[in-house]
Amino acid sequence: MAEQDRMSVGSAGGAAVEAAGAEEYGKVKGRTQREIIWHRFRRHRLALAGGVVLILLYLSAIFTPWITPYGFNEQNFTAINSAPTLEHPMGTDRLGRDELTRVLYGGRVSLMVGLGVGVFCTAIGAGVGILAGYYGKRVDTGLMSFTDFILVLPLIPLLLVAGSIFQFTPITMTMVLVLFLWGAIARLTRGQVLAVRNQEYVQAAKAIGVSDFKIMLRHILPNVVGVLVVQATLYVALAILLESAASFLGFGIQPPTPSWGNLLTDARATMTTQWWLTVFPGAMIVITALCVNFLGDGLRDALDPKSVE
Amino acid sequence: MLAYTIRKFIFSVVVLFLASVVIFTLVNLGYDPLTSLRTNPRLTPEQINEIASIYGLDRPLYERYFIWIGGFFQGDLGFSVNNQSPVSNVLAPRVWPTILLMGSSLVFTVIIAIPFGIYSAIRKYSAADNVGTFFSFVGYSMPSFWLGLILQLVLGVYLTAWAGTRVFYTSGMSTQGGGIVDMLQHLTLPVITLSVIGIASYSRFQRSAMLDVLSSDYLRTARAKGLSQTRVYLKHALRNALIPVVTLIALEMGVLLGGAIITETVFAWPGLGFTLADALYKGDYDVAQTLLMITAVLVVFFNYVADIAYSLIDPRITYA
Repeated sequence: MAEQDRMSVGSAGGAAVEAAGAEEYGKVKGRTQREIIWHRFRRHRLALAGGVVLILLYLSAIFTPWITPYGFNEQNFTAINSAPTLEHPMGTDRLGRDELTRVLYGGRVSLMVGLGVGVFCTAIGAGVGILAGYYGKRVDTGLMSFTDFILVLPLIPLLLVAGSIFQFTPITMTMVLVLFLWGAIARLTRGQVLAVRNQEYVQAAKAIGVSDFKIMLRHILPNVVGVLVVQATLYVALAILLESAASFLGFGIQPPTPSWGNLLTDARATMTTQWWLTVFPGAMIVITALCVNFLGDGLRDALDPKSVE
Repeated sequence: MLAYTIRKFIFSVVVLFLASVVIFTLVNLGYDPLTSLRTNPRLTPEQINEIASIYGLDRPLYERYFIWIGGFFQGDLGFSVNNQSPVSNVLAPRVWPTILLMGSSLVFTVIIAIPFGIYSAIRKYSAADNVGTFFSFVGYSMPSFWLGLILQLVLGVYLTAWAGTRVFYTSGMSTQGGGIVDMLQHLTLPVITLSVIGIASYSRFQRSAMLDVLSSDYLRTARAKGLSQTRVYLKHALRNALIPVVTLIALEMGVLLGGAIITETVFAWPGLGFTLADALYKGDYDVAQTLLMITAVLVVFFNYVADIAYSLIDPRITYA
């Protein structure tokens, strides 16, 4: 993959157009693949903003205990059911707990589940898709039938059943979501692999005796990695939405561990009087999912080899 | 084509069988229907065993599976422990509310999403298109349960306080003796909640389908021979651009019941989704596994229909 990134594209892609226009051919500075992608990505302002906000969100999740002066179960009896103030920017709940602190701790759970599902779904989906697409025939039929089976299972109902049985922790929740969600990525990857597996460079590699594993890793994977990165981001958003929905209904992460979903369950009882308990955790879900989706959209444009500068 | 249809059918049956095994195993390993009896100090173990044998719970798991699945396809859906009545009696009054809610939101979604998607494609990168793009991002980043809560807060609580009278209800399906207006007051908020995500994704999907068609050769031909713009758009472009969207909607029909769980629970809408969530809370295993199986049947069925319909509608697709 490192070779792929360093590979100069002086002979192909956007740089060629510039090169043709230059008077002295030798002086044109070729741009690496990475530079081209970064250049395209930078122009997508919403994606850039989304990326920055996401980095801040993840940093705040990592450093939560150092950011907030309160503990997530710490009660302040002088400020029970307090509306947002300077001391408690998101207000407090009926037990006098600081809502901002709880939202930050909840974010640790939601963001971790999102990232975990995104990474593992993509890894499994890519593995299955590449194997099925590369080997074809029986391997393909077998793996894709299984994938289709996973895809047909009713996701939300089964997630709730699993939740009511296992009492999810963030880790088991991630595992169950991965189990249900990797299928679509495998299907998509397989399609991409079918398109490249008969290309000359793959045949050439085969002809000089490169092993199947190495071909898949060095020649097939780099060609589908763009699609996979985009899918990974979309699944982070999807996982965060599903986790919060399941937790909200009481089948996900269980209190006292706060997650954005179960904070909203608590908030429902007093929604009419304490609006801040309903507004802030939900707004965090929307902001996170929105940023991830913008980032995915920007990456899709930047990584698409067919897009023109 | 016939071979393809049959192969797909066999696959669907196998999938359904496997899904039923997964559902049955999960539900029956997860819930012990006799939990409350076992902790009751006034019952002896013999009495509990007697109760277990009345419900057939003393038989081995695989035997119970075949009794259940056999009953399911003959219309005997089992017995609801919590309601002390047959499952079919519990579910029957819940079917209509779900159909009403799903149907209304599907109609609402399609009426808004498809025309807007077409308009965005024709006026690509116009202000309306850009605003639409932005809001569709917001739409599918929105957790539907939170949207429901916010609607309840703003259009339920605050609007009622401001107007001095109830405009929209935030729970239930109707008030005793209310008419059609009363029903609409109940229906509005859950329908909006259910529709927003659909509108966001279908309108974008319709837009890209329309853009695909607009750049095709036969459309250039249609313009070249001097047809009016309206005729080109409505007669030549739209017919082809609708195919993928209609397929997508057909596929989503099966998933609707799953999505209904969340919205129906938020709005206490007395439908099947609400019943399923409730049954899972209370461990009413026969109700839960029946509803899960119905969902699975719907999903598999609509997938099958979409597969077949797709190959019929689009002449470019051939199956050996």
